[in-house]
Amino acid sequence: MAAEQNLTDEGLMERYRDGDAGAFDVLYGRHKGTLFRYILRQCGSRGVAEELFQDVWMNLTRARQSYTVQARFTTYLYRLAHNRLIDHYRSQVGGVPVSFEDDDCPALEGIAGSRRDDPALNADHRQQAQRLLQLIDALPEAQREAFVLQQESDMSIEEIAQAAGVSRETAKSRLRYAIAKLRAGMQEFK
Amino acid sequence: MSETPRPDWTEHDAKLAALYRAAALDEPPPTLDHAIRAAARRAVASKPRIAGLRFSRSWRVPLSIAAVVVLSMSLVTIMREEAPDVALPPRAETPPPNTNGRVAEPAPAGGTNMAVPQTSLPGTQKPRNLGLKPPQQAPSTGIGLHGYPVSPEPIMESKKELAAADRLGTGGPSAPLTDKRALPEAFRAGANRYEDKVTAAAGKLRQSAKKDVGRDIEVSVEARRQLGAVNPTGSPAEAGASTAGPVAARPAGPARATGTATEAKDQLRPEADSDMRGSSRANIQASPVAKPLALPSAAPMAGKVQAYGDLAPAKWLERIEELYKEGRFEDAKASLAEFKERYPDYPLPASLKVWTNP
Repeated sequence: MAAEQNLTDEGLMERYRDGDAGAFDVLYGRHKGTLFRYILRQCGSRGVAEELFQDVWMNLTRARQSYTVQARFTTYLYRLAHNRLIDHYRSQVGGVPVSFEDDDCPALEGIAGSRRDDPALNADHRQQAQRLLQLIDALPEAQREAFVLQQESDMSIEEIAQAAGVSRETAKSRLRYAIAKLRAGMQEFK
Repeated sequence: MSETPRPDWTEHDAKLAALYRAAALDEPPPTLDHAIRAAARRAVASKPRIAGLRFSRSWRVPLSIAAVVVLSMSLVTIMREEAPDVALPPRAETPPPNTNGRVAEPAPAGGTNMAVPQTSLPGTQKPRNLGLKPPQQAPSTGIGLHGYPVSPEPIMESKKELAAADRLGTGGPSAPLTDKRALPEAFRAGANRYEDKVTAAAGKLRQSAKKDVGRDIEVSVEARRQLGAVNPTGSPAEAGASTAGPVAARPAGPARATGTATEAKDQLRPEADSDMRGSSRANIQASPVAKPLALPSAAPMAGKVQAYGDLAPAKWLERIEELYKEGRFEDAKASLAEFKERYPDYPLPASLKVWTNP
């Protein structure tokens, strides 16, 4: 068990592929929080998030036979999560959010205007955190995804692009737009 | 969540990251954790795998292919090494045993038998002795490839016989009779020994033929003497002188190289006939067939002939027929001549008529 703690995510996944159940336990412990929060931020409902969260891990165990190290494990894991979210969106009435299909981001000038119209401003740090979460929830799904992937898994733009299935420039634009919007929404707390 | 500031972040972005980390504290419920981990263990337990088999799994096919190739090449190499021994004909070239360095020697003048010598080398088959008659040709000049005497001008019959013997003996095409390739020493030595035996046998045969001819002459002379003693018409002295002298003066000539008694007797016949022409009625003819076997003595014969004269003509003829059947041609002829003298008009049976006509 101690040796498995020192292994990388990719090594643990290979060991789990070869039949080591303990490797999966370590892997799950490392990424369960971040993955759950990512799914929670995207779907907005805890119940739905738990269901989608379980589905993602089940998909991973079923696909373990064909796992090969081609990228970081987090990229592979969040790719599974992204695909499960898309399936979830498609099952909803609204379908896949438009933001996922729109590679173009609005001008940053439009972000500042919306911040001024937000009346819910709180100077307390806790309130700031809560305000941030609200601002994150207000982001478009694609931008939110990019921001959360960056914040939760410390993924690079290239890895975000791979997980989201978009080009690097699209991922970069989405992340930049998300940050700009959040930044603008937190101007009230400067 | 990473707290390491990124190069593209502004200060405000770092604050956003800090705020987010402070706000995002959601975790999955423990029951969900337990369920997911149990399902993962069940998935692995259904197909237990040993972590150390990764190498064998990935190299299984290449190693199998390599093993098959190695085995195939080994089998091919082994078959190639064994193939020459299987493919070679039975009479493969083998080193001859210790010999006295004899080379091919000309066969003696007596000719040789076409039968193959009995000496056999390892790896060769014993040809069958076909019992072929000896060739009637000039002496050979050496030993051929298969141990047969090589004649510079073999007759057609010998050639055919040699080819037949070769094919039957060795199973291959007949070698040319004029093939003068050196034979293995032991094979040649055996051929020479066999030729010596054949020559000795031929010499013995010649000697026996001489003896037979001499014996026949003696029998004829004795028979004439006996007949001359009892012949009422001719003078004994004349008969004896006519038979003994010329015959004695002409002993059996040297037999030819063939060594047959027949030829020797044929040579003597004209002289004997001319001598007997001058005699009275003793018309004893030399037998046309050589009789190498022992002939009955003249004395008992004379007595028997006289005994038949006391028989009735029919009985006498029967006795003469018996003599012919027993191979006692001389006695039979003498008795028949006597019968014709005594009964010239008596009809002879057909079997005896043949003997009366030479």
